[in-house]
Amino acid sequence: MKTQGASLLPLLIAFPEAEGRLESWGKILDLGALSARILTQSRLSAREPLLLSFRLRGEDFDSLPAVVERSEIDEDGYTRCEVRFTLEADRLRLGRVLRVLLASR
Amino acid sequence: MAVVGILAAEADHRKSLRLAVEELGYRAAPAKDMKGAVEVLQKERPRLFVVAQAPEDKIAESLLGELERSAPLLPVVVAMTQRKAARAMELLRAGVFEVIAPPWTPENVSACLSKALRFKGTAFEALRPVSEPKGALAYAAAVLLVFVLAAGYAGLQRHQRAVRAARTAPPPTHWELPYSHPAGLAYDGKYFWITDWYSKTLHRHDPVSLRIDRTVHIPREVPGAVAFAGGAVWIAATPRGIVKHMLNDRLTVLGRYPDIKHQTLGMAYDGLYLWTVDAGKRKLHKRILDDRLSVVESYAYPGSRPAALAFDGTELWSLDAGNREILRHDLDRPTRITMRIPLPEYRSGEWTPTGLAWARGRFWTVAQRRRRGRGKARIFSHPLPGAGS
Repeated sequence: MKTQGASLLPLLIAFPEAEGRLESWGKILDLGALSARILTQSRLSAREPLLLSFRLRGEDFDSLPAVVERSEIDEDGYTRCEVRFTLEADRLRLGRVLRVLLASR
Repeated sequence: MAVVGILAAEADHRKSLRLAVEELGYRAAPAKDMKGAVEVLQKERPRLFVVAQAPEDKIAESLLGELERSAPLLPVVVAMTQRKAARAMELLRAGVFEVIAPPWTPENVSACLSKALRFKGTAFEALRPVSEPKGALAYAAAVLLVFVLAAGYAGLQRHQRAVRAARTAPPPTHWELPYSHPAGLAYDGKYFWITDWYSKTLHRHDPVSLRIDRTVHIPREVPGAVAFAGGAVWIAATPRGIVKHMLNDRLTVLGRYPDIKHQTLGMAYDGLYLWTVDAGKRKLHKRILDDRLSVVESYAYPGSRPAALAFDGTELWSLDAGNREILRHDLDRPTRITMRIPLPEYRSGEWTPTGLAWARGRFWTVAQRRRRGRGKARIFSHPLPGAGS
């Protein structure tokens, strides 16, 4: 599912393995059950583990473990990267909510 | 120049944001309260609003409510006085375009403003699921019909795409050059001139096709920066010299001047003064065209690593190879930057820019490959932000 412009989903980013690194935020550009593309001002590097939190269709997804697959700096200086959700349970739950969301549109 | 509205109750917050915004080359329109913000909105028509607030304040939400009626797609950026990710999430969910945390330096604000200024506002988009067929016969008929229609439609689309591509093919933005060591670039009003230090040559290029239409060998110089001034061509040459050539077929030498402020990597003439930039000491020098090229004033270079200078007829510009951007300088106070143009072409690090020129309504840079001599040089064209390509 692609989200755009004003409807980009806000995203909270935590860093489980970087002690002392403050939480950051960004937006979700594309969201699927297995992965997402995100945009943030924080610098993220490939293979970096993250905990992602966001709200989709009124349902809260809290601290989903994910890992950065690819990361690049866009023309404005933002980090644009692809992340993969690592837990099967999270993927199933996301897939269910996305199916409901798509069916209702 | 884009106008950026600033809403901040505290005077020092207004001042910090205003400095950051102006440093980036935008015009700031500050307001201290909601009433002032509405006035700015009506009179200045800003492209976005930056709101300074403490995490617990509700100023941004109030502004969003105000904008909902008059300018619902105007991006609002919140500059928080303290970093609080949870509050940032609340603001983003409320409709704020972006939240930035302190310190509000131009570097921190730059990416956010650039992104917000290119925001056009659009709607949510989702793919609809395909509805299930009702029966096998209906399914088969539908499939057959779809195939027939798809074949015809695909043919039509291919044809239309080909026509569209032919009509809207973007103009090229870079050209390969048949040499590898460019050191300077200048435009004389009709042609581009590029020095090649390795072959000790000055090449003249057609401004449209970029093909070489003339080459002049200058064996007594290792040429670097180049500029046109007073009806002559001036070339910074190693070691430590600036050479004045007549604009004839052989580029006859009219004078050689010791460069009292070497190492000159960039030169530009503003109609009165010859500006040079000293890369070693990171200084901008304002010189007069006397018999010593005397320096009238010197200024600290406000960027990172200067590589070239250019004059567009009214403004002085420099090429900052360190930060990969073109800087516009205040002619009265060149340490002040009034605009920055990023150069994404150089972000990969594959190319090192060595020359800058203003021609035909846009900037041009010449570059050599980072691994010097391992490939042909390239000239890039850079449209101004907001202008079409």
